[in-house]
Amino acid sequence: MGELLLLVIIDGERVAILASQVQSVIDLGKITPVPRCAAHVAGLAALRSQPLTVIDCAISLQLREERSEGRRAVVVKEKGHHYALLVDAVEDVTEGLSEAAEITTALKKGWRHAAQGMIETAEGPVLLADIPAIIEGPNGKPKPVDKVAA
Amino acid sequence: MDELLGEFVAESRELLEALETQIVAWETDPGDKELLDSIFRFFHTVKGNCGFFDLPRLEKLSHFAEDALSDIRSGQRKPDSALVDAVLAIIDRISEMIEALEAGQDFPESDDEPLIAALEEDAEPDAGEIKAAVTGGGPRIRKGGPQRSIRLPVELLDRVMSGVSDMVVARNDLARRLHAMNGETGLEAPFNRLSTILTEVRDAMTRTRMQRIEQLFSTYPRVVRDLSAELGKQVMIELESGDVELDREMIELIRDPMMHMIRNAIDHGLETPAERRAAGKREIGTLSISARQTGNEIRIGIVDDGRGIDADKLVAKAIAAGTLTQEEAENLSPRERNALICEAGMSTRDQASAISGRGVGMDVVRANIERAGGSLSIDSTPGSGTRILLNVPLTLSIVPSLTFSVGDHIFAIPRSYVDEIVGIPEGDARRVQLGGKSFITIRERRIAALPVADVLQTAEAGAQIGSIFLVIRLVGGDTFALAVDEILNHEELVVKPITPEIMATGFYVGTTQLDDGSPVLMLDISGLAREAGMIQEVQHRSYIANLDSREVEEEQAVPMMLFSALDGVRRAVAMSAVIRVEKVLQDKVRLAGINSKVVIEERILPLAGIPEDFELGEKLSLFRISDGSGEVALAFEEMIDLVSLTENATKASDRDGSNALALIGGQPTEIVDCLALFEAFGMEAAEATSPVCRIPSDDPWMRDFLRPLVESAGYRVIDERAGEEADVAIAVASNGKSKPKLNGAQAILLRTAKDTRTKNDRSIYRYDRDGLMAALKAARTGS
Repeated sequence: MGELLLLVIIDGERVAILASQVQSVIDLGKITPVPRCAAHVAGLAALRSQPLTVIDCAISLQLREERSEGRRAVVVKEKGHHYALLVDAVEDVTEGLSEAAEITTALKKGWRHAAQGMIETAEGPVLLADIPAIIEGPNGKPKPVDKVAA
Repeated sequence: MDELLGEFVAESRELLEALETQIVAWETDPGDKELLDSIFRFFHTVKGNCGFFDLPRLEKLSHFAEDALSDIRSGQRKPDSALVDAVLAIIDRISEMIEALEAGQDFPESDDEPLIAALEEDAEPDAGEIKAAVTGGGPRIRKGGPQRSIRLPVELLDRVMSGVSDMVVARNDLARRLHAMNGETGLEAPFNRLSTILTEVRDAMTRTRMQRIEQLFSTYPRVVRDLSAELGKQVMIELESGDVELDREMIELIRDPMMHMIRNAIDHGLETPAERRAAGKREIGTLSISARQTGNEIRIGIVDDGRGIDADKLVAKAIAAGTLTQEEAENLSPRERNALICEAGMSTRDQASAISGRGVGMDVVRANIERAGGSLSIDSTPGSGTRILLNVPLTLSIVPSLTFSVGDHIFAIPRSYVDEIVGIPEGDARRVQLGGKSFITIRERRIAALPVADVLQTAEAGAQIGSIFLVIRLVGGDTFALAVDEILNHEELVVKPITPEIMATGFYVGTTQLDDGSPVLMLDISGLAREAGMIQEVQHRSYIANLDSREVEEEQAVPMMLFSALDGVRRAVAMSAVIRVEKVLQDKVRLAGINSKVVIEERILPLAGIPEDFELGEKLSLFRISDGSGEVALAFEEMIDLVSLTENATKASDRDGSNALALIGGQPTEIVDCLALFEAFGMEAAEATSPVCRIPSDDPWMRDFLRPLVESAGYRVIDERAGEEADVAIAVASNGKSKPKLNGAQAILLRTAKDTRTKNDRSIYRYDRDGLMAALKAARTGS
């Protein structure tokens, strides 16, 4: 049995998030911007009385520069804090058909440190997102990548 | 049961319960250092606590057990089963005593001496006796005392709390929807009821978690008094709780560490009076404990002016104990050297006293603080004192805050930073631009102004900066102003931590939600100031300033009467100007705008504070304000409170008409300028013809009881300190030193005792109304 995956669309591309990491999927209301914060931090929102730091995934992955229009977000908990990952759309929950496999080709810049691997699903192969890396954003510590050089 | 004692019992019981499993483990492995340490700490804590209560038996038992364990810890003695038995017997005895305390009974009759004797190294105890003591009265049965409180897991409280918060958000949403339907749903009344109940529940829930740190601090004067008496020292304690409210759990976490540090300060830090004299210091040592909210932390300072920490000795000891190598020692910063005091088994005292000094304490202190996510820093100057700073995070604390807007953004700042709020419109001469920086002038002081919009880059460069200025005073006394667009509200906000990504900006300390559920960022004032180059090093400055902060804090407070005016504005007027509060009937008042008059005691007084289009009710409340010669009546709607305000916040308004504002109870409040009032209204004020009586103003009895009496005798009452001539002066005779300043006035002496002390005593018993009235009358007629 493979793990359950939540399939989301980020900048037109299908991406998998481990369903076990996902707390909920919500439509964000008002986002309070945080001036002078890193670009991928879209701001603060609230899920009832719980503050959420909203991360714009497309910006974090350096796929886009302008803020996403959508309001659909995946809520995850990381190091005791709650984050809302802003995505274009949330598709479905599916079962991973394989273990996450190493990616042998060089990905686009933003994905290099944010992909945990590639995973096969009924919908075809998708990248498995590395949540902490997406939260950290492009200026986070790069993972020791030795494959890319090749 | 005394509350403190109750806490002691609860704490000891908790410790005993926690110890139960450890004792069993220790029995099988008496050499285990960690177990030994925790049992040792138990005795140490019990001993320390019983010092404050009169529990000599408990204290003695724990002291001897601690002594024996201390020997084992230092390696002077090997633990053997006889010792283990003896220690266990003592734990059981202590546990029996605690139960007796809890039930409010006397201690069980039993002799402690055999137990103590059994601790002796070469004691050959009658094994049977000890065993008998151990198994004492058969299986122990807990006699539960009357239950006054229950203990709940904090997690449960958290869940309820967040549920309530969610309900409030849902309530507000519902309120908006109901409002949109223009009150035609028929649901308004039940909704309002629900809403009120919810507010109450939320307040109650919040209170269950929050506690004023004052409650913790309030036990210290007694502790310090007892400790210093015991140690033959003279200690003056200064407490400043700064209105800080702290999570109950956090208070529990810092309770023991605080106590340990206070004990350490008095025992080790402060010298004996003789030593202090020899060192050229005041004989009385000072221990000041303060709490401040700084950014997202509560900072508790414990400062003594004692001998300081001997860091060299600490280093030598650490090297001797093998916890530090010579090279490592050389690379330590002064703070790190001082921090060695927190290593287990360190103490600069060679001789242990009954209070502290066994090298337990600071390691426990640090462990507890760190468990709470806090930190500890120790600064010490040998010979002149030690300053310990305890930083504990503000995980869940309620911060009285001010919310304001800048452009489309809303931010909050802790109210405690705000000294004053001033509105200075664009183009005013008091606003200048120098070298690209803004400055404002308030009462001839030029203050750098920092537009929030610029620092946070929320507006285009060159855009207008707001015209509301919040004058901020940092801990170190640095003052600057924040320019904002509009003040929105003052409210108590529950501040929650923000994520590292947002923290990294250095401008925010937390996030909070407004009533409509929208998140708002709490600004980090020091971060903003540092960014704008307003201060070089906040930390450093505040440290220096803290050492002599006493002068700053002694700023004179002025008592003010807080009231809401007829136009609904909150105002405050200096108490010293108000001679009387009156209620007059409608027919005594003649309304005519600025020329309004009121008749009081057959005199016509100018009446101020009447707004345009004001309709007079049946009665009118007013202050009678005097400048010493004339009187003006100032009408008001409702008295709110008596408050104290520091001098510089109450300075009269600027001449150009903008009113001086002060923050009172967190709300911007206009200060009534009495001078301007007399200038405008007092021209034709009636000359004071009544005789003048001078009474001491600093005595509340005089002020509240005597004054009305004297006034009813037809006198005008002035302050003792006023330079004005008086016909009569009243003073309390028994006070010894307070002889009334005569200045040609007749003196009336009051005494507190009912009977006269001597034959010639002409003083009047202070509740002898008739006698007093007669004396006043006599003085008036000049007989």
